[in-house]
Amino acid sequence: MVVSLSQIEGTEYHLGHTWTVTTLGDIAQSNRFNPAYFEDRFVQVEQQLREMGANALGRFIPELLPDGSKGITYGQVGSRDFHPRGVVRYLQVINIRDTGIDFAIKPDRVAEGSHNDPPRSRVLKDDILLTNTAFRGTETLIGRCVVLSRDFGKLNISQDIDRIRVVGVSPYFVGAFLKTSYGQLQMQRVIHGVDSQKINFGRIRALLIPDIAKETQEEVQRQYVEMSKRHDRAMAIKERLLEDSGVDPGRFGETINALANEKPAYGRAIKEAEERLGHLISQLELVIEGRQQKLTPFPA
Amino acid sequence: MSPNDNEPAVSLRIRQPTMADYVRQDTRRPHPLPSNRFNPQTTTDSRVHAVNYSSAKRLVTDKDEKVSACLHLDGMSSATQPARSKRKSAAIDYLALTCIKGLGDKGIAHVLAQVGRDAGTIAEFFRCSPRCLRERYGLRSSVADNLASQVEQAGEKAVAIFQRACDLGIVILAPGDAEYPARVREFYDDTPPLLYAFGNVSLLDSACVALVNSAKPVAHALESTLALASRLAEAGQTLVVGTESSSYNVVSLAAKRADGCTIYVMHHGLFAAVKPGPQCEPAPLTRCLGEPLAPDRSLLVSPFRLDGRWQKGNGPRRDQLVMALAKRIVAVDVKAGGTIEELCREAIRIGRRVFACQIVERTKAARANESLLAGGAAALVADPAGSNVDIVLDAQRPAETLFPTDDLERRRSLGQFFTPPEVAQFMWNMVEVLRGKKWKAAARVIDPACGEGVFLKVAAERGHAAKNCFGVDIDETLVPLWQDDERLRGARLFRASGLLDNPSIGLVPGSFDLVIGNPPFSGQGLKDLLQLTQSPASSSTQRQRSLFGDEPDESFAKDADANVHMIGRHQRAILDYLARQLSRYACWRLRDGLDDGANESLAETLNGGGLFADLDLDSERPIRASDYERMARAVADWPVDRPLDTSQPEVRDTIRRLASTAIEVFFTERFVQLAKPGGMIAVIVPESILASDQLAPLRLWLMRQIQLLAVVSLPQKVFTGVGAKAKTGIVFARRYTAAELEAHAKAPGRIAEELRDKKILLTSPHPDADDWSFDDYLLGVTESAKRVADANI
Repeated sequence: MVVSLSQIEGTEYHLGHTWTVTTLGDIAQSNRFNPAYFEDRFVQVEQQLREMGANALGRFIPELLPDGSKGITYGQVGSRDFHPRGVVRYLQVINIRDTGIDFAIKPDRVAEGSHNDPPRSRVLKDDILLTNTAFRGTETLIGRCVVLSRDFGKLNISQDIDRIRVVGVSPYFVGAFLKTSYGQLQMQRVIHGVDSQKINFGRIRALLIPDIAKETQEEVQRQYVEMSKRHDRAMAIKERLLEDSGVDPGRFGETINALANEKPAYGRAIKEAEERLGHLISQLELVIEGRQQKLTPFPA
Repeated sequence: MSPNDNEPAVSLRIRQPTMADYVRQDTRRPHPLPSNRFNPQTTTDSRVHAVNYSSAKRLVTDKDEKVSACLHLDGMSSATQPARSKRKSAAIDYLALTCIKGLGDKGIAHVLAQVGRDAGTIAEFFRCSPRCLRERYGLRSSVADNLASQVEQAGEKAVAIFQRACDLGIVILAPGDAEYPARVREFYDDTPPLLYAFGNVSLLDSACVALVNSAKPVAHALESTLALASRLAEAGQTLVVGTESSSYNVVSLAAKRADGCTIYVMHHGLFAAVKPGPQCEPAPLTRCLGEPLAPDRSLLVSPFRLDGRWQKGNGPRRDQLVMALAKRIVAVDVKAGGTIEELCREAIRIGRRVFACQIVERTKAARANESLLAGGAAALVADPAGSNVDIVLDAQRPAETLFPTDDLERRRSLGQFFTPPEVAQFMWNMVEVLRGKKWKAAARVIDPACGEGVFLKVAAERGHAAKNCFGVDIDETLVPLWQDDERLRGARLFRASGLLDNPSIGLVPGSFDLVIGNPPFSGQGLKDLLQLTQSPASSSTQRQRSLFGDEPDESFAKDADANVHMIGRHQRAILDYLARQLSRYACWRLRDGLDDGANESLAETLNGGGLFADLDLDSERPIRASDYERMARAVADWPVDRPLDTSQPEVRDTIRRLASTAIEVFFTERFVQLAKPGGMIAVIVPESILASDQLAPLRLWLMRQIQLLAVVSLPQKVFTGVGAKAKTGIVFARRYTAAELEAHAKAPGRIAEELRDKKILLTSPHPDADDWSFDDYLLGVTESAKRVADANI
């Protein structure tokens, strides 16, 4: 039981401060001492999801996949040896955007079969990618996720990205859910770290995911794929720009973004992708909360 | 009284007569002789005696190797033969001086000093008139009047003694010799003694350290002396010791066991100590090791005449020479008003490095040590491992080379993130609020990783008795800061590891009403322990034998010899002790909370669990609580007088686990340990302690030991001023009493029913808000804590 301070004396929150009064029994049950874990916003999300019969995400993540890899894994730990002519594209946290993958910034490649390209962390279509680490000042990067809506060829990931492959649930629904406030608050609650922030496999598996009708999941997938197409269109423009300008994307990513923003086609595409994503998330939240039965399509 | 005492002031300008003046007067006009004792028939002119005496000297050939050795002339080439002869003659003169009846060692020293001042010779001294002897050399009348009659006999005896000394290989060092240690001259002002030495004389030039205690030191002082001496010997220092007291005996034992170098200062003449053939150890305790004296690593020195026996009063003079020979002096247990204290003061006065061990107990020794510390001695905390030996060793290095790295970098390595004063004030406010009443001045407070002492400064500001405020920190650079701060005057501040018990400074578990502080986190931590597994035990360390005659493990020593020694033996011994002590902690072997099903739902969510989930030590099966117990026992049961055998898997794994456990984890347990049952704890911890899944077992353990009262998250910017941007929080808790622990043990969920509903305040800042201020946050938390405390009551 979490008791708000208001139950002792009428004040629940000070501006800028969060106050929670809990009991020793609650602390013992959760085995967490960090105050943020007990904040009402987190507790309420968990309560709501439990009340609606949500399942742990781990239930849909198999321990081992048919190809021998794990259902959830991260990239190779250790040194990064990039190879400009490598055939395997190497994804890092900076390549993960809300709407999809951005290959135009730091488009690093590694040699196929090298230590940076272990088969266990190869990425395929329908895989979920989730950033698992944030360093100083980059806390907003942790918990970003994308679902690969098409085949990008040979692709591998860094150690700061988790590749999640689910069975029995639409990966697009999982990806979209993790972007909602329900998914984000759950992750914020369990992210921890002294210097850099992390979320580990155990906590990812423990995330609650609501049981949504299969038709709704299919609709989420459809809308997500549509959103991804817009994103990919924008990225294609940016990559062409990159080739034409000769700007070093590893060093001047901001320049490339600025140049891309000057292109109306890019702007339109990325804006539509963002709007579609916003629409999808808000619709999904309405469905989760039971305020809507189905997702409405993105307005033309 | 001087002859000029009654003269008017102007006469002071008159040139003082020199010895030559007296000699000239005496040759011109015979001096009046005392009629009753002087026999002109038997006493001839002193010059005649000198001649006869000189003829006896010639009996000792200059070319004899033994003579060269005795005179310490090995370095002189044959081209300086006249110098050799002169030296030999002077040495015999010195010995003749010692054979004069009525002329004691002090008198001889006085004569030598005067001879030195006059740039004269002893032969000239022998030629002086009694008046000259009285007035110039301060000899008593009885000695002065009879000197002339003794000279020849004394000379012959001196030649015989010299011959015997040569045969035994004894070296004579006169204050005027270039080889005479300059630091001995410094210590004795104008009366340095004649020194007789046997063994490796070059040790006099080495880094000499003396460890001194007053008579009958307490047991733990002896233990500390033994430990410090062992570490110093292992670090290659030459130990200067006497031979009789228990303190000197343990020092010589330590040196012997570590195959170190020793200078023994005898309390009698060397003839009684040095005999033909293999020499036995002069210190009785070292003889139990059953090995002869190692001439290359030992030097016997005596300030007493060669054929002299022990007599009353020799002890203080021996101690004086011990101090004089040492470049650095460590006073472990010194009693007030004794000879050792007096000598230590003298050493400080002449600028010698003196270290005094800090002792908390109100004993006579403690007062003397405190007085030495106040007088300029450097503070040293003694423990059974000699862990602070680096302070003594560093004293021989220039200060600027001690800390070559950037200060901030160094602090990061140590995991130091000093606490802002407002946070320290806040923590004090909170403990008072959560406790429900103010602290009494008599309450014992400790900060086991005190840094600059910010928490103790706040305690002083709040009127806490300084004598009840304890602070410990391992960083020696902080000591001057403590000494300079007026608020810390009188507080018990020690340079030591806060993780280790040390009764001599009051660092005992369960003895503090409040344990408050900001222990180190991240940084280098305890990684140094891995050096125990990476480097082999040095062969000689392995060869250390027990007092009870156990034979060393030769096979291990052979292996060790084949490898490169990566750390010094003394460092290894210190790490060895640290590993043993830390192995007694619970935090590094916590797994049972998950193993025993106490929190199965949590265990299910964790992938791996345990503190060492990523440490793939045994992939065959998961490590069980019983494995940790077995490992801890392997270390605990290992004989204290032998280094840990890291070739044993249990020992090796224990060390690896200790080293890979974060230092903040150990300190968290330490805070709990130090608190009295019912005592309060206020500790700043990194967020890993509060939230990390890997440390879930630690939190389970903590909940069985302490009642959480409040947890306050701090914004990351709190420590940015000291180069850290870490997420931290403050845990306020109360250690359970024995009755409460019993109630917990009976409770099914490990939390007693009556405590389940106790309220805990949890706060976290949202510093991104526009009007957010840290001061307001701390103030607000304190206000809320009052309400929660009232609710709990």
